[in-house]
Amino acid sequence: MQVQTSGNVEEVVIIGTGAAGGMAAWNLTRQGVNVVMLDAGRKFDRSEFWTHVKPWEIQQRLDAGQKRAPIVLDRDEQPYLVPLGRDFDLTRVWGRGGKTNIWGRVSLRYSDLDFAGPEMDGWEIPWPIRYKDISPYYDKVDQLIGVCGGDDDSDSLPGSKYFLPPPALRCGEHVIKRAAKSIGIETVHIRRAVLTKTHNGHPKCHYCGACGSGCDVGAFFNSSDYLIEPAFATGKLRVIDNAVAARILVDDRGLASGVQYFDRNTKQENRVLAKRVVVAASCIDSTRILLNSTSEKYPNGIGNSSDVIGCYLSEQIRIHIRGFAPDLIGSKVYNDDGIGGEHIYLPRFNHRDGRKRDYMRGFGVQFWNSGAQTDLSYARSLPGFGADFKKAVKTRYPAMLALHPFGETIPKKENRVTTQGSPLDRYGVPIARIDYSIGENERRMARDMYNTMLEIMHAAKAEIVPADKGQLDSNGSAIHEHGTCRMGLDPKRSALNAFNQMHDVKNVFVVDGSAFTTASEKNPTLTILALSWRATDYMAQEMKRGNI
Amino acid sequence: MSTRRDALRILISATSVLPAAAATQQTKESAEQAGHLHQGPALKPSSPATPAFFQPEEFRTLEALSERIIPRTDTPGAKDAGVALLIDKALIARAPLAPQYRAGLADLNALAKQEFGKLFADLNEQQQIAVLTPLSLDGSTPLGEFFTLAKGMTVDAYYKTEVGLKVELGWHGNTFLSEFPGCDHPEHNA
Repeated sequence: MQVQTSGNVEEVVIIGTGAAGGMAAWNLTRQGVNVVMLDAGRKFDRSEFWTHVKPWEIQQRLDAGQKRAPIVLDRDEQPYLVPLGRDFDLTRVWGRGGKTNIWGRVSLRYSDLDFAGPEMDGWEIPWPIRYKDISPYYDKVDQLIGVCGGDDDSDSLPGSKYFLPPPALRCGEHVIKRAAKSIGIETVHIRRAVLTKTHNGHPKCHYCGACGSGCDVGAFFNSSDYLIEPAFATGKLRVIDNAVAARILVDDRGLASGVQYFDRNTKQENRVLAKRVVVAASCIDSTRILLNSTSEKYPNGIGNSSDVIGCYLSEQIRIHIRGFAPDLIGSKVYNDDGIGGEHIYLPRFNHRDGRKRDYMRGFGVQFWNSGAQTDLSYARSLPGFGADFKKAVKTRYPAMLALHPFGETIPKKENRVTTQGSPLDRYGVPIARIDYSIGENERRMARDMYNTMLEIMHAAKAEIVPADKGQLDSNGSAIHEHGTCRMGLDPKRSALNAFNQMHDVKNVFVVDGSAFTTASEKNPTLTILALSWRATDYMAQEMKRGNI
Repeated sequence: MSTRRDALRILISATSVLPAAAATQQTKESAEQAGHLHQGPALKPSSPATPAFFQPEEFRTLEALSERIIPRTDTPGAKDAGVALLIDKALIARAPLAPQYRAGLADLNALAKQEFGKLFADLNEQQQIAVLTPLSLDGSTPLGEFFTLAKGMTVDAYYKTEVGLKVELGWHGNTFLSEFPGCDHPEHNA
């Protein structure tokens, strides 16, 4: 098959249209740079989100032959490998906006506990930036996308002058807040990228709680509506749909010269030539592309003289503890949808007040599915059957407290994504192999998580739903992959500099979660947006200076 | 058939009623949100369904079993919610479980015959409870294991239906609200 290329050399090509790629496109086009984006899918149609479809209508619609938007990529279409006895639960979205169509929207700033964490405990390399470097960008991102929150900053969770009003708490959240406080742990208002007021032309949330299906009005940040559509309006953006990026092309000077991609439907090979490449295909796919971009100059993948690309994969660990608040058992049932997900957050606290711990780093706690929700799986665990059982389910319904701690996993070289020797995908390109496991540090942290969650439940006098102690959620299920193309000051131990630019290849920037030096316990999207904005500001300056 | 009419009446009475002014305000605001879809595309009413996996006699046992797990009380039960048909459908999607389910129903009938000389569905309520109680207390026997499976699938099906989620539990979410009021218990907000 003949390879197609237009022959034009673009100013910038961006791989991926999620948070990282969308921000890069928005920030470059508004500064007058012409951009081409490769999207592995297409724009999703909001009418296919099924946002306002009740749980019992879903099967009826499927039976009637109706289809919902195929947002999450089918693993059969693009498989990945895990070694025998290991697991990694990878969620990918190919299509405009990527995972921001259905993301959890929790928007927490990293603090210097995160950026300088490795300096404090000596495990692996520190970030090349500190909070002061990124805080102006957090301010700008908050103003651009709209994040709600409260005035309750701390050393582990810096605040913002630009928060939209926080939503009112649900009953169960008052109970959790009070119980945690009684044992010396403070909760805060959730910081979430949901519009509690109309913001920059986007409508406010109407509290239907169906965010996980995609928002029918765009009342929470998604890269397509908030970044890529405004970028189109500049006249500087072109997006190639169904373009599955395979490799970055290299010229004889060792610089990137474009991207090889395949049409998702026809499998036709194409090339887009460009002076600069921004990689934003999400952690695992970006890593796969970089490792597959081999050449005489870069035998183990572009920009990989350090051999760190693919290594240090860091996800997060989670456990789930549920119980029932006694004073809410049998109480009135509220519409607890709110802005979808919890309205409070429990920031990291294990470094304070002389607390002792036998592990590095920390965890924070989220509380989704507290209150009257559509997940009734707890009913399976209540004893008996018949009228008494039915009553027990009903009276507990408004009383659910759900505790979900998220913990940092420390970066380890052997937690590694590779492509060499992998089977080929439908385009003839090696697929990713993910070799990942947690270790003793994570297991110790999980024990502390479990004990702390039980302390909170006991303080609330809650009736606890039986849970298997030590049972961690599957690897990858937090959907927070980081670390496989990390930033750092030392080119021997990192792939990117402090501006997400490759140490080895000056005209390649990697701006998604793969660039994170550590995972932190926090949700990464806000930081991805801030880093991508900062990186592309630097990139635009370097272009003006004629350096790249 | 009175069952369906009863369920319908409870459905109507459970529908929340907004004060007129608030309703007008919500209609106005929702109309102003471009692209807001209160519903997906219209659904054609489906024809009365029949079990696709179970034989009629098995299905009768299944209906009796699920009704005993979640009986009709002052609110609708599993039969009112059509749980047996939903389990029949779920088993087609989860084929590996289907033979186990079928065998479990046969074993349940054998046990009912052994203890009371009749098929499970033909026992009275007290007899059915007497058959099921030991199974619910010990999930380690083959029939206990089947009971755990049957209870789980009954629960999953029932609380996903409009009858189970909305009528029985009082869920009234996934709707357009102008504001989110949150908890209004004075003791929580103190």
